[in-house]
Amino acid sequence: MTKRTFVGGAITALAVALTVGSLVTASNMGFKLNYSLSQAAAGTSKTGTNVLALPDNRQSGLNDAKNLMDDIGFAQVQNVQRFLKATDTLQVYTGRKGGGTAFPLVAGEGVYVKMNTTVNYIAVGSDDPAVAYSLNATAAGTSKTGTNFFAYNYHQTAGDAKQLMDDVGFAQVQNVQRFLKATDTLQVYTGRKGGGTAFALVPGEAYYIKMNTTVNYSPSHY
Amino acid sequence: MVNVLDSAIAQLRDASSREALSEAGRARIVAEAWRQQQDQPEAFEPSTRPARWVGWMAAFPIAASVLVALAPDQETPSTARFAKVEKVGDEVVFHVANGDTDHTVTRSTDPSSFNPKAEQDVADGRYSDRANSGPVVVFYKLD
Repeated sequence: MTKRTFVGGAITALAVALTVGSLVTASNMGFKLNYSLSQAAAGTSKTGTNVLALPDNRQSGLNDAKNLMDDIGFAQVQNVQRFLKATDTLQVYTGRKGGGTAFPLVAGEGVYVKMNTTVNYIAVGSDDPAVAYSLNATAAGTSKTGTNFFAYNYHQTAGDAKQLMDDVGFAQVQNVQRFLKATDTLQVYTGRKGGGTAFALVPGEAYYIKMNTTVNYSPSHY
Repeated sequence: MVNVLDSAIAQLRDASSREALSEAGRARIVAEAWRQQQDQPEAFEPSTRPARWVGWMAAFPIAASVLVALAPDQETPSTARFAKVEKVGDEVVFHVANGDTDHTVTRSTDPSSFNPKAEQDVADGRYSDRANSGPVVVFYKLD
């Protein structure tokens, strides 16, 4: 390697780093979603429990479970729950006396919202293209069974469960699951033989992604 | 016949064993090859001396700062971003980072398709839309 080659290579590397740096910090897509949070009603919602996925950059002031309840309408919300993957349990926050701690909202993580009254909630925010979501495989202290509750990005190119698996890395994903609020059950899709139907993905919904291998996932989006 | 063939073989062996070049000629070739080798450009070996690498590492942030400072002030579409989004009354308000430069917002219900003819100017670094009406999902592309 000549000195000229070395210096030229170093300058090129610097220019590439600067260019990539400016691109990954860009955020040029905003969202407004009118999302129905349903109360318990036969055929619609068994217990009034709904999944909710918020944008990476949430609206100003929407930082924790209490903020979310207030924004939806406190009296209309029974509780907000988050999935704890280290133990495969749900942490509940009611906002009432003895109702737990208002846990922080995290980009890329879905929540459950249990409603007293149906509300058409307006979720607004913007994308953070620099974020990579950690989808963890089973690991002591991190994820009990490799199950992650992923907040689907509204403008992802993946439109169904199969495309989501492919986007994450098919071999790394064991299955994708969606919550069916009419029955409070989970529909599972594995992408393998006899592994169910590749259900459509809907903006505002969060999905369980069960991993074989940990992946830092940056979704493909428009 | 056999004698003629033996004679030809003997002559061939005698010719191949003789050196065609003189002693002086061979010496000149060796000298020229040596000179050409000495004229090769010096191969660059990155220094392993810590002081030299510290110098290089210090130079990179400085060079990066100079490049950023010298870059055109106008943002490219890819660097425009929403700095903050809030709901104010019946409106959704998008605040644009570095709003003193010219930006436009285009709305669509399909994130893969935006009509450039429908783009709207961002005024005073903010863009607003009605919060509670319209389609289920709206995408706002900032340029």
